[in-house]
Amino acid sequence: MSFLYVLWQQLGYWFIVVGGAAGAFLLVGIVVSLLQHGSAAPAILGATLVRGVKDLLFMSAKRIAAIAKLTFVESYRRQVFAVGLVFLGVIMFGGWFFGDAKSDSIAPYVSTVVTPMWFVLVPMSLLVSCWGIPADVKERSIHTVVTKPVKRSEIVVGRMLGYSAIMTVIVVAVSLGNYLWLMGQVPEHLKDQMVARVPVYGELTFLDRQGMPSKVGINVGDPWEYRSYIEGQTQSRAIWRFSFLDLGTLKKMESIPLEHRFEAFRTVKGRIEVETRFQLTLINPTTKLRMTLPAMYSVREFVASGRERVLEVPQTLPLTVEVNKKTEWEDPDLQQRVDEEVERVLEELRKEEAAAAAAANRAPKEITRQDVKEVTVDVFVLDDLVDDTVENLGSALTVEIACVEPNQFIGVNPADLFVRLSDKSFTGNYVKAMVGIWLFVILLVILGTTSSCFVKGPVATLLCVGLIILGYHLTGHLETQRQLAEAQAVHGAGGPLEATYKLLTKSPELPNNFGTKVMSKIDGAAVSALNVAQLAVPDLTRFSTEATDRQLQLDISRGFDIPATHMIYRFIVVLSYFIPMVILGYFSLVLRELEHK
Amino acid sequence: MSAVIEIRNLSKIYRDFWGRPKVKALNSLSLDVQQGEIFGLLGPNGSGKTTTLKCLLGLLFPTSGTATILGKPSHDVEKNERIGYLPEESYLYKFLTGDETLDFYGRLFKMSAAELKKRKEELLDLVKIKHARHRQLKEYSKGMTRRIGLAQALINDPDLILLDEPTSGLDPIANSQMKDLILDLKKQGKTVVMCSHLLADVQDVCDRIAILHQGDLKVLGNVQDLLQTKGESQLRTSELSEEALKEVQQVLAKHGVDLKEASHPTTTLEDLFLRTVMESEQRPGRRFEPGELPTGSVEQADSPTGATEGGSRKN
Repeated sequence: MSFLYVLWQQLGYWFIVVGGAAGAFLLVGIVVSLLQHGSAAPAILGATLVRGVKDLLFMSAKRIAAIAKLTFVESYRRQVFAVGLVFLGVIMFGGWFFGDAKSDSIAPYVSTVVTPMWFVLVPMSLLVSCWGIPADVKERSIHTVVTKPVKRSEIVVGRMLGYSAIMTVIVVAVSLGNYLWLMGQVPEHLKDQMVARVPVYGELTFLDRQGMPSKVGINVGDPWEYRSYIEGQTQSRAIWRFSFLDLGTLKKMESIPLEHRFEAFRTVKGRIEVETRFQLTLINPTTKLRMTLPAMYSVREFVASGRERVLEVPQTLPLTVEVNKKTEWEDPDLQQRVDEEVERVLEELRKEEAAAAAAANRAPKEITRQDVKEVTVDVFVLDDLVDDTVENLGSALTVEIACVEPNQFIGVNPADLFVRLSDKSFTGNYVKAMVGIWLFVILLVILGTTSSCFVKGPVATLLCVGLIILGYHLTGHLETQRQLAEAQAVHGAGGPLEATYKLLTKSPELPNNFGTKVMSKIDGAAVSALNVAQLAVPDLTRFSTEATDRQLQLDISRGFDIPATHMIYRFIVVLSYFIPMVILGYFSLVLRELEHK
Repeated sequence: MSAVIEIRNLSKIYRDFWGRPKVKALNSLSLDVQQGEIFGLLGPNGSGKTTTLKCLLGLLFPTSGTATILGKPSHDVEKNERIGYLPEESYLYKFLTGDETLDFYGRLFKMSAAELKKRKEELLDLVKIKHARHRQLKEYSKGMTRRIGLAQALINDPDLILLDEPTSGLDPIANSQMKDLILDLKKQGKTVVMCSHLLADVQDVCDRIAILHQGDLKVLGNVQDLLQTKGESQLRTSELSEEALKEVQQVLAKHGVDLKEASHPTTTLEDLFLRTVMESEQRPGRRFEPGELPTGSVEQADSPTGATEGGSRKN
């Protein structure tokens, strides 16, 4: 699926969620209005909505700027910049924990400055944004503002911008300080790790011990199921398919770099000084051309530098073909090259035979194709082994890994093998990571400011903390629940209500009556609610700068380049929350009396 | 004169969390405020004065009834372009300086930067706070805070000024200046509505008043009419000798009128205080004996406050 397609799809979801929420609020508004105003309710509600649209569409930039400036000055004079002292502490004492010889990776250095940013900036942005408007209401200073020609929407946007500005200054200052610290502290011998690797990840499938396709590998009993295993000296294989390869970029490189970070699992001691080895085969699934690289590679488990775990696959590989045997592959281009090579060899043989016959004064023997046993031709990996026939997968390279040590296993995860394109600059990647943190902070400011429009400071803070927890931990859980509910519906097990009914009545089938239909509708609504809940809560793991199972590539401390699509995703998430949150904040301020009680 | 404020059957009931009525703050209030007048809302604490003002400003939602202000409903934000509001306490941002405060509130109006700068200087002069313009409000005294509060209320040169307890917390000099300022606003054709329970202040400046009690309108009318004692007359002359007094008494008796009281009028405490301060500035280190201070009103003595004997300030 292309990025634009996903974007379009997400936009559709956005309209569903925002439209659904707006509809729900409107419904509540109608009920409350009818209870309060009786027959006058439609007119009052209509007027409120019209006023709302007007206030939201026609805001004054000057007034917003004035409120934003006030917010900035307020935060500044309340000394939020003191947070810099925390980082000063990190910078001053962080160096104590690293000696030149103590670390062979830059990861601890980067984590030392990046991790505290989350712990300090997240609570700070919540404290700043969740408490401003409630304090304004409590101290009644808002009275002198709303009695000026200021729209409530301008207060919400102005506050958001003001808090965003102050947090921006802090993020920039802290990022800069941390960067300078990194440049000064990382030892020279580790500086080659300060790169941004550009990985192209593939999809992983397996062959089991008997060579049958499987979605998972062998379970060696490791409680952490991050990796799945292949067994040595069996037909067990791990197979990656790398799609959408940028062949233009790859062809400019001397070789095709494949970086791995497998894990060995030993069932016997073996030769402990020799690392577990594996062999690599490149496959074109369409032409069935297989090229096994002659070299044996080691699982380099205890090497910090990614560069030392890169397998350089040459652009061309020699393929020896037995001329008089039927090949297993079917590639007309390659066959033509083989035939040309055979012709060339035949020509040489004929010349040699002619010379020999002339020397021996005899008639030359007839040289035919049968006389050529085998020829060696160059196989161009990016032309002959890349498969571009599968629709929607672009140019794809298939790589197969086999463990060569008997009774030993190699553990693999989809992210454990990737095509490593030309490295990008660490500084650029650091900036992207900081922009990611900044966008996260801005998202919190938006959520915090909005919640502070309808609840008091402590409640608003708790509300946002709850959203963060949901965003980090529940999006995956909700997805699982949703899939489970859908699967149950497909397989006839029914939704939660139907399943409960079946359990209680111990009957596998339900009667075809009105009650069953109602249950089924409620179950359908439950699945839809899970869908909407999943869409409404932001997937905050995508803002992370730490390694997670799902977002390994966002870990800058390990030197991975943050993809542009992730940056766009983050921007879009912030924007998609900004618009509905301003609307929610506006109506929260318009529909409440700004009087502290 | 046209009505600047029209209140019709305005009621406000404060409710608890569950929506149960807690306090009836206003009960079907109806009144008009005319353009160019100074209108006083009087009443004891909790009578509904501030609630009325807050309903007018859209800070509170009426339970029933309507309030229009400058021809627009109370919730209409556009009306605020022509309104100035001084709250009961000066609910200002204490972390801003005086200068920044006026700058911030000024930017909320459709004013050019040059206009705002000029207006700011004028107001800082008017409220006599120029010397403290770069100090944060948290360092201001209560009087200074009230003055800068008034300045922010006037930043847009409003047509209608709503003042909630404008003289509360002010010393007599500042109090006097505030009242002069209110009268000055009237001279400029502005309409002023003020809430106060300091009756002398209201009497000094207001044309009309409404007295509220427990949310009900009890009295509404012109101050002079309401305060006039019917059936009695008062003459004021320069000091009379014993003989002259007897003759006056005879003339009055001839017309069948009793002279109920003939004595030296007293001044107000406010007047005495202002005069003492003024004299002290001119003659420092001096202690004044009773009767030593110049008689007559402070206004007559070329006072900047313009207070007059008997408390009558109106022009």
